[in-house]
Amino acid sequence: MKPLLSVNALTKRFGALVVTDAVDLEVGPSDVHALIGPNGAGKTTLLAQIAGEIRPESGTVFFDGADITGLLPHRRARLRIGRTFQINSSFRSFTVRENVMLAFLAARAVKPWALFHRDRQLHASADRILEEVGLADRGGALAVSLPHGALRQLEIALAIAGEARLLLLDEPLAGIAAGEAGAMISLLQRLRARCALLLVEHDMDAVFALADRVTVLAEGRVIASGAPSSVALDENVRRVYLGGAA
Amino acid sequence: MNRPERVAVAIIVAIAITFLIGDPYFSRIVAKACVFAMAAIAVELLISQCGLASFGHAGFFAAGGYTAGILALQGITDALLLWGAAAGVGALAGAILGSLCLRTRGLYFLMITLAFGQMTYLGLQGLRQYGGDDGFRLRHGVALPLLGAIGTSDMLLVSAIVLIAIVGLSAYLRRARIGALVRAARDQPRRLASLGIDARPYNLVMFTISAAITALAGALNVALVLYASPELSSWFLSGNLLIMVIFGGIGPLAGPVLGAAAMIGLEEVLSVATERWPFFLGLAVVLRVLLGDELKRIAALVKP
Repeated sequence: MKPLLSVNALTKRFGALVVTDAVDLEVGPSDVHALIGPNGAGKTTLLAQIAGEIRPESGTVFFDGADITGLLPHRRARLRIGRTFQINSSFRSFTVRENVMLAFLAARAVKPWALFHRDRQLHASADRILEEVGLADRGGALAVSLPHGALRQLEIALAIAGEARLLLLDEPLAGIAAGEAGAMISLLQRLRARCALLLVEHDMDAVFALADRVTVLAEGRVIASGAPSSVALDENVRRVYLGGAA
Repeated sequence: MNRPERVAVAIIVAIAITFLIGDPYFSRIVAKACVFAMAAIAVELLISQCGLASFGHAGFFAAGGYTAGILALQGITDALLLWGAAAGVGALAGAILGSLCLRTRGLYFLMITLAFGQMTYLGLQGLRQYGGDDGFRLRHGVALPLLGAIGTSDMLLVSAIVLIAIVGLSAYLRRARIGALVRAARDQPRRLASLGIDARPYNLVMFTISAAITALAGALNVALVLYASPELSSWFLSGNLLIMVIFGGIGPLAGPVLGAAAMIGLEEVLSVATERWPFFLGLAVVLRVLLGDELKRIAALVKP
């Protein structure tokens, strides 16, 4: 099958440091592809290059058969590449519902001169998404007042409002209490029916529960890629990353 | 006070009281406060919505004043034409300078707007045919269609009406999607881009509107004082506008109106009482900033 996302020989340097070193990566239209690796392996930087926030030195990114290497982030989002951030980055001074309404503005026509708050249709669409991520009763709360776990859910809500075909998830489980991790993993499970996922995650339980494919990065290089079971057995991977834990 | 109709009622009450007092000198001060309130609203709009503090808005104030003043020297008296032209020049200047300034944020934005304000100052000083450093005086006021010539006392009413319209515009922009978008970009620019929205055009529209409002205020100011000079574009005036905004509070719709009224009122009162009035004005600003939260708490106690 033709891949939805295809990253070819992508390379990025910060000074002398090569943070992305000739990385190849493919994600199919209904894949859940996990990107793992030790801290500083270049996972987030790779995600930022796919989202368009960081420009690579060389290499290409293809989405749905088109070269998007030179596109700005908002142009890529319009192609329906959604994204969540490692650090909560919802709009603090807006309510939870308004956050999702903003995401819908982009997905539809923005119409800058229309009123924002009293749009019934926008309200209803936002509430549907909030229901889906488990924030239905939090719609009226200011985002800044939400606990960390709920903000992680809001991150997902913002990303899926635009009906993304590919979601880039940067550590969706980061900082989530052990008791709440199960709920987030099952939320991510439900997402796989909607779109392809490229997931950066440190939580190995989540990775092995979700991923069809795993790519392991170390010092900017792909050191292994394949089915989760085979990657887990890879000698190289065990040495640099999984250690004794796997 | 966030509802435009309440702010409008408060302005109308203030104007009515001024008319009852009937003192021409006092009327002029209130009209001046209305004019500066417009410019303060324009500055506050950029700060509270876009998160951008401009230190160059006096440039737009002067551009509007010079546009209306120079056209008036050519014999044009129609206020709608003069002020429309001023707002148009302000919008054009805002669109051009905005597209340059908006590449920066924070302190850099402050510096680049300051630089453009100073360039305006030097540019106006170079206009020898319009008095250079000294500026120029106008012999006649403006006229409105149907109503005829507008005297200085009528300027109070006209300024108040324009001010109320601008309060309404500011309220609308806050409630419209464009306001929501620039606030979202202020909070989380990367996140907004990741949703597929490029905030730059919306910030530019807000900057352009802000510049046009400021230029319109500048034109009304020239119609009020019948005098224009490069001083209108000095960084001192840009700073004064920022101080008015800080004094009134950032966020509430009434903030810049109250700030402008308080600053101009204090300036008048203090300058009569003492030669060292700028010192006491500065003291008032410091106290307002330091005691802001306490004042709010006291206001909350007094509220029914």
